[in-house]
Amino acid sequence: MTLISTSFFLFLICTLILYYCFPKYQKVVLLLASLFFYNSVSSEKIWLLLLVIFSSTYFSAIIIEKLKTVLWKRVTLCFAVGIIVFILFYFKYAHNLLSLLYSIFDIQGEISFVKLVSYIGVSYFSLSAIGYIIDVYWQSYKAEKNPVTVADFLFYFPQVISGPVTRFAEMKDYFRNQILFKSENIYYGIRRMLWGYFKKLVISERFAILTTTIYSNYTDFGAIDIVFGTLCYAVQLYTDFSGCMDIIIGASQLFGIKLPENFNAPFFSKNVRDFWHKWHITLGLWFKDYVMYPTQMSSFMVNLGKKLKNKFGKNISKKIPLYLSMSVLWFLIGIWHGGTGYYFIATGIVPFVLLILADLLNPATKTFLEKFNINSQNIFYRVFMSVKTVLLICICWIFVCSSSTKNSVAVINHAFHSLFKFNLVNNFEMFDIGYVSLYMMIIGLVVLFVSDYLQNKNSSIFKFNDKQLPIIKYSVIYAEILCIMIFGKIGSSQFIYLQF
Amino acid sequence: MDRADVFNRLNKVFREVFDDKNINLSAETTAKDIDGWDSFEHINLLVAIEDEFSFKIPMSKVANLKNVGEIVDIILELGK
Repeated sequence: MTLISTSFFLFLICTLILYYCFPKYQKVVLLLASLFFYNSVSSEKIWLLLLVIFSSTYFSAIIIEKLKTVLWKRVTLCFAVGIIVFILFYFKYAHNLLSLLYSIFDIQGEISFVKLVSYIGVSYFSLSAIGYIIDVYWQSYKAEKNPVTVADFLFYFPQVISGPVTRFAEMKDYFRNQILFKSENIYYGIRRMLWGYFKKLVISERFAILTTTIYSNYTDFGAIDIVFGTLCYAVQLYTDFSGCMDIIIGASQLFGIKLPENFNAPFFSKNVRDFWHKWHITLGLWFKDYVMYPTQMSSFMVNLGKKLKNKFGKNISKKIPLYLSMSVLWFLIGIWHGGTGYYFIATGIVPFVLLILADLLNPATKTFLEKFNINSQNIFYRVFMSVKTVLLICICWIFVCSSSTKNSVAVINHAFHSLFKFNLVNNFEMFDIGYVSLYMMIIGLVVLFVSDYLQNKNSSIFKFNDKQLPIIKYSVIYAEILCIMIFGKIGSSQFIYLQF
Repeated sequence: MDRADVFNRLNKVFREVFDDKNINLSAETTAKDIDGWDSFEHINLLVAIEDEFSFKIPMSKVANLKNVGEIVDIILELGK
């Protein structure tokens, strides 16, 4: 069962009917539906894994709350988090990480003692589980006594595919209280889902053709074409991932459950740092709150800062602990993305280096703006900064598009040897796209641009339509369905972030 | 230690951390009002507050401080 399948729609409709027909048993219906969904999407038997993660989370939180001494609370926390992290590493990352280490140190041998298992969703609900246990340890809230509420929070089916990474504090009321049927939830949910399908099937799949063709035949293209191909990947990945999020958030809204947003017009970012605040928001916030801040506030870092202040002054004493904490954060985010070499570089090392460079160059940039009297709020300057940010972020995606570290080096090397070569028009016949597809890509891009522009201004592309008469509102919905049916590349590939 | 004392001492901490002698805090002051108060500087600020008031800010509060008023509340609740 995938998000783009008849079986998913049937499953969604049946679950919704049961959910609203038996309001007293809503939470049980959700849990059973989630377990059924897991069983359908996972290629391996997942029951034991779910049981271990649930038990570690539920019981450890209650035990932590009951224990009197800080030491034993800490021991329980480490034990429970250790179990979850071990499961996550063993099944998701151990194989790739060992392959990476074997290749780096040129070690010969089999690594069949760990196997890569496609437990979909593990990397998402593991983070939610760890966050919940830590929150109870920090006494942010009380441990939940109702096991169904905890199980619903961990395994709620719409978020299993690609997140968002949820927090118990923001979700608990949905899984504790009865949710009444509201027609607007159905309308907004369907509307949001359709927007997601449009992004994925009409836009993303078409840009994928351009990216794949350029990167599969990069020797036939020049540096400018490779930059263009990477920009196409930027659109492909964004519409794929954010489209998936729209479908998930929309599906959840049908149940009256509002999931947190994961994107906020990232291509309108003013710098690299701003970009990471707008891209995969819930993952970034999770790592910031549970990894970076505790590391930065640890006694080791605080003492290091004080020692550095005495020797090197205030600025260095602030920067070194900050950069060390950031290195831990980006190291873990790199591993979270699978632990393969090229993904580790693309999602861990390159973003970390870009952020450090941006921070180090920040004073020089400010001086430059003041010296040449450039207003940072000027529209041209803001556009320049957004374009610069997207191009810098594209460095990460060169590694992803190339599908291996070796290929990435070859592509970058080739690009530097063909700096001014532009073969896109000459090689147009290599792209298996017709004029209809080309027009749809342009229209899709315009719609996407308007949508994100409005989102960046705290508005929405749907606002205008929502104010119209019902007949116009629903006509637009029907038109959107028709557009997806006619122009969508249905039956195509899976969502990119499903692999994580 | 009353609220006015806390504001005075906190003002000094803010001026020192953000290198800005013109900072004048109010309960409603947020990160948007102070140049440089971002997620990078947030922890440096909290560590400086911990040093000034000699107490440890609970991790549960670290990410959720919305404005200076909330920082003052925590100091009055936990500080000595």
